[in-house]
Amino acid sequence: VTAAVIRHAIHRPGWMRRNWWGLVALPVALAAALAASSDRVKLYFWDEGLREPQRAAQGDWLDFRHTYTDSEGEHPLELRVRLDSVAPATTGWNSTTPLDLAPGTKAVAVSLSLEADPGLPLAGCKLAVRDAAGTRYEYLTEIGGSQPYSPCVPPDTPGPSPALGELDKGRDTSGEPARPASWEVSPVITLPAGVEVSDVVLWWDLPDYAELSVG
Amino acid sequence: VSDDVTRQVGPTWPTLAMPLRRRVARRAGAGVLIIAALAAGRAVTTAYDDDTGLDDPFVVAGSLGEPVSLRYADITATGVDGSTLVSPDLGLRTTGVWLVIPLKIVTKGEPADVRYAAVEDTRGRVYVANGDRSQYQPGVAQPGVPRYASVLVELPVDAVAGAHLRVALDSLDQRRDDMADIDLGLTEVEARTWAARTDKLQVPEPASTPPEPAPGSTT
Repeated sequence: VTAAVIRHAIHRPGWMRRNWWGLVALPVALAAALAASSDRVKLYFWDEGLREPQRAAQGDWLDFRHTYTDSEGEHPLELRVRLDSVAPATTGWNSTTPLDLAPGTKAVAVSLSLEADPGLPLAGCKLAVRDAAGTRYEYLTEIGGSQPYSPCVPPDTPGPSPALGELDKGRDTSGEPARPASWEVSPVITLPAGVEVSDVVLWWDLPDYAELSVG
Repeated sequence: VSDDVTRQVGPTWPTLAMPLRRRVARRAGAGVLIIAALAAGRAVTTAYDDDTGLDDPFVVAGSLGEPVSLRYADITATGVDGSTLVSPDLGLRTTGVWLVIPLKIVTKGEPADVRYAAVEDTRGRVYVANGDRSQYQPGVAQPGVPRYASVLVELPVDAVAGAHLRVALDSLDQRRDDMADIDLGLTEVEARTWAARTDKLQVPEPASTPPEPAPGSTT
């Protein structure tokens, strides 16, 4: 038995000591693996819902700042929007025909004022009202009669549409007649009769949206 | 000897060469452990003969007349009827059986178009209501506002007994989302009766009001 053997027996490193760096690296590796496999959380979940509100109260202007992407790339989407009223409606937007409402439902007209560059493509928006629980009632074009397809631009002067690259060949993309610099809309939304509207939401590309509280 | 107490002691890990045979045995042991772990993983993932299980819809079972609660809607099959002749396109005739299944759809949280409907028979054959003949187009419904639409499916006579109705949100992709599986409660008696029936069954249009019960319908 040499001195070296004795020293070795006394100072032999423990399991923890030998595997120290491996143990430190383990949670890091786990976190990296989860992050690397989480791209679908953004693609299929986060970007598919109303996640990033820009808020204003009824009667106040909201400066909405977002971006949109077309075949030319990403562009700023900037406009001003104000919720004027949410009021009971008996006809559809731009219509004088009385609504044929389903039993137990009512209709509300959402009056909005908007201001934007006439060259900005805005027609591809979605509009909905929500109750206090967050249940969403969206603008549908077919409610008894038929309403204009876009709830946020003037029906007769919707303005330009986003660039579609090759598909734009032979298509009128001028957006004429031009949309005015400011305008008002009052699309009609149907919902169950007992529901109280607590806010109005308007969006283009998710997850950003305008949240306009009622009252 | 007192020197040993104060002097820094040499390396704290093994400095003695391990005997060759022991080293080889250790390497071999580690290799066997890795192969065993891989084999165990393979055995676990294939034990249930279910490689596609991760893609399956979440099936919620129900029966005729009872609402089935799904993530996006409550679905009720309010009845089932059959004949060899149905109303669309001035009358569609079959050598099998047409099933007509009126549904009540109440969406939750946000508007939805609950677009997928199919009938699955006891042998696992699936008849999807997606085309020119077998039809189902409920349209968009606001949450809390019932929508009434009928599923029309053409089946061979031997698929009727024991058939289940399956309803889901997306007509193209039913993976990883809720799907209603409703036992239609059909037997050989209905199969034979409907295969011999020649009067035209009216298929109600999708609407926000319940369809009038057809005369002589069995529910």
